Amino acid sequence: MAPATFHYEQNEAFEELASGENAIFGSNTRLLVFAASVGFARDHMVENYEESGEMRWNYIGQDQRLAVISGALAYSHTKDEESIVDPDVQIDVLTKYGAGGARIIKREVVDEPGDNLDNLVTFLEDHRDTEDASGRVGVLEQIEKEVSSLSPPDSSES
Amino acid sequence: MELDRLELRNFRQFYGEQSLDFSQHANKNVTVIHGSNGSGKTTILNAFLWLFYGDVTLPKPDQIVSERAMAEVGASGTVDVEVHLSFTHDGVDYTASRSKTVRRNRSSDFTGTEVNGDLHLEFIDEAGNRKVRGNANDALRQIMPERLREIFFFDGETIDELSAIGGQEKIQTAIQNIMGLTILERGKRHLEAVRKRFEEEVSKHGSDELSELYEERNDLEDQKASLTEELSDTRDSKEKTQDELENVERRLSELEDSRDLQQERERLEEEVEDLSEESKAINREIADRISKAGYVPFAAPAVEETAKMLREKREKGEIPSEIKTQFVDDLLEMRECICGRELVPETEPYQNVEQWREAAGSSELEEAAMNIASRLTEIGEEEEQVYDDINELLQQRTQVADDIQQKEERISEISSLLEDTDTEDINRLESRRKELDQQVSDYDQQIGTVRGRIEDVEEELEEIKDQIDEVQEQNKKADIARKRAQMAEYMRDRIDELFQKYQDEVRKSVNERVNNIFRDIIAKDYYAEIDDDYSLRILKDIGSEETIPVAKSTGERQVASLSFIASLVSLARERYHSDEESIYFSGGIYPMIMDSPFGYLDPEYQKRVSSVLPEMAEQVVVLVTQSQWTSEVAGEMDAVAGDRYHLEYHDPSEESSVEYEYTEIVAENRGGR
Repeated sequence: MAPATFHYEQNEAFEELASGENAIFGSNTRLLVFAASVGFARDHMVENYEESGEMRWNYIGQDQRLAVISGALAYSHTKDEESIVDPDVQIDVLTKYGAGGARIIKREVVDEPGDNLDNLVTFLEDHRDTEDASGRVGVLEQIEKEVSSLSPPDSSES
Repeated sequence: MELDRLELRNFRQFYGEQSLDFSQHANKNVTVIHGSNGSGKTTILNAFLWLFYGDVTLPKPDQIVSERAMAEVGASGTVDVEVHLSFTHDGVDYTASRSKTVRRNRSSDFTGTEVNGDLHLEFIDEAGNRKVRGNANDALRQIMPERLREIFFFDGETIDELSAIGGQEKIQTAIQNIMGLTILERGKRHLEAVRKRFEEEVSKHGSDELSELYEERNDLEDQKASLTEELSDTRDSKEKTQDELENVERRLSELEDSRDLQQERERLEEEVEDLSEESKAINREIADRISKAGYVPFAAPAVEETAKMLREKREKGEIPSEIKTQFVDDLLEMRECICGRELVPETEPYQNVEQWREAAGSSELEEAAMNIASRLTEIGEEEEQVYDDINELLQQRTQVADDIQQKEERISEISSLLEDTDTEDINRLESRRKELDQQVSDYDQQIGTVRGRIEDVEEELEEIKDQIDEVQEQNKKADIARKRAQMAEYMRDRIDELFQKYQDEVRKSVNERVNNIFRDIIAKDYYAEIDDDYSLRILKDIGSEETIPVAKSTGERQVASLSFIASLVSLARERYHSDEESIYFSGGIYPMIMDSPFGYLDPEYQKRVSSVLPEMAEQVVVLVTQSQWTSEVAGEMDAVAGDRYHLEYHDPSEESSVEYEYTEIVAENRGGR
């Protein structure tokens, strides 16, 4: 049974990037998922994070795209296939990577001089330079085709 | 409390098992225990102390065990020591026992090391059942309060201390305890503690903080009002300046030599404004792309790893599985296979179907896997797309910025052209226009600054208001605490008045009884009195109204002390048997257990004490040497002595067959029942 809400570290980056008229992120949920992805990519997890924010789990669990990211981060961290259906594990991974990522974003985006949006664009561009994504789209497309076919592999081959 | 029987086992010099019964007969209420010096009289008194309070007032207090018993067990042997008392208290029969097992460590060790110890208290309930009291230690101290040990178990050689200087506290404590005033005294002390606690709460919650906060809030509200006024003034100034600017610009549009340039400038300014809006819209779009897909490049490796795991499961045939766990569970529950065969638990067919569960897949996992799989291409494409989109938007933004720059350059050029025209009016108008434009811009900046300051003040005000709410809440607590402290103080004062009143009444009543007993014993024209500060004094009448304190001999002080104890015990007994209702004092039955009570008394006092004391208490236990058992004492006591014992002391220095000293309790006369 998934919990109704969970606590996460809501540092200054949330105030700067996800609130007010000029917010870049549409919601705290989107910034948390972004922060968790950053934390994962930089391998920065915070075990004892500050529980300064609270969020409803269904904002993530019921959004198909965000649910995929949450499940993937949980599996990639735990290597346990059951984690893709376990909200408790997903929340644990999301919040710990989220806290790690939010601290990186504060340091490298918010605290940097200049406009937050321009700094964020630079932050993304810098990541692109370090990550080799070539060929990934092909692999993912192929797996989608294989897994999404409804019949078991043996019967489709016969 | 009425004593029934005392049993000793290996307690000090009382080797093996020894016992004595106490006289309970109404007319023969005295138990006499004779013993020479050193035979164990004081040890018997101490057996009570050890049982009730766990300690003794004897030399070598750690050496509780009989030396002879220790010698007999040899090194590393153990000896049990026990004091067991049967008694009745408030109509309930009790048996109390304190025991200890000690180990002898070596041949020279007669103290031993305690292996275990126990205090046990049993009573017979109303239904006649034997029950164990949970906290024996507390229960025994309630029956015989430790503060009164010197009253209940008194040593004749030191009893005179009650009437000596410094005895006041003992006298006061004894009166309060036996006459039942401690409940009021405890109530008074408790209420005093309660008052202090509430006063601490008052000082904790009630402070000058609130008035300081109100002052701070008023200052901030003044600041806000002043800033709001400044904002309004600046806006007015800006509007006026703008009006003037518009007039100047209108004039420039009207003059033939400046008309075209002015119109071009107005058009360019509108275009710059539109482009600025466009630039903002592009920024919003970039933000939207990052918000909706910015995480993809960072999370893509995790998605790829998960996708590979799903492919592996798919290759193994686990997703989609041919059979679902739920389906297998349903078959087992219905106990029927898909072929129609009955499935009986613990049979082969049942077990076969049960094994299908291992190959079956969870539909929940499968659903999640399908959701992930259905998004893989989209996510893979998004990883690159998000960068492409952002780059495209950035290019658009750069283009817009370039356009703005070009147009602003042209606007600047127009201004220069107008300033450089040959027409003086146009020169002057353009200079004024520039000036006014600058002013409008300054006002805008000023308005922005003032608005920012107002926002800061408003934030501070919000914080102050929160603090005020918090302190007001605390002040409510302080008010309640203040009222409670006042009530506690009022109650304490009322109880104190009551306490003083009862204490005074009780003191007078005890005083009268003490004097009566004292005068029954003392032949001289002396009086005994417990004065206001609880000193037990002996006075002499020197006239019709005056009395003076007299120097007292040890014997006279002993008589005064005995009179005091006898008064308390007799008043408590009287109250216990009385039909009068009493809220605080229901009285009680207490024995008088006296070790060598006649030591310092003249023969005449011995006679009178012996005559008076048995009448004062329900039970009297007297421990005396043969020399103290004078003809005067015996003359009075013989008639009321029920059970009588002597302590037979076996002295190694006098009996060659005895290696270690020991005492036997030998019954002489058993007439106390």
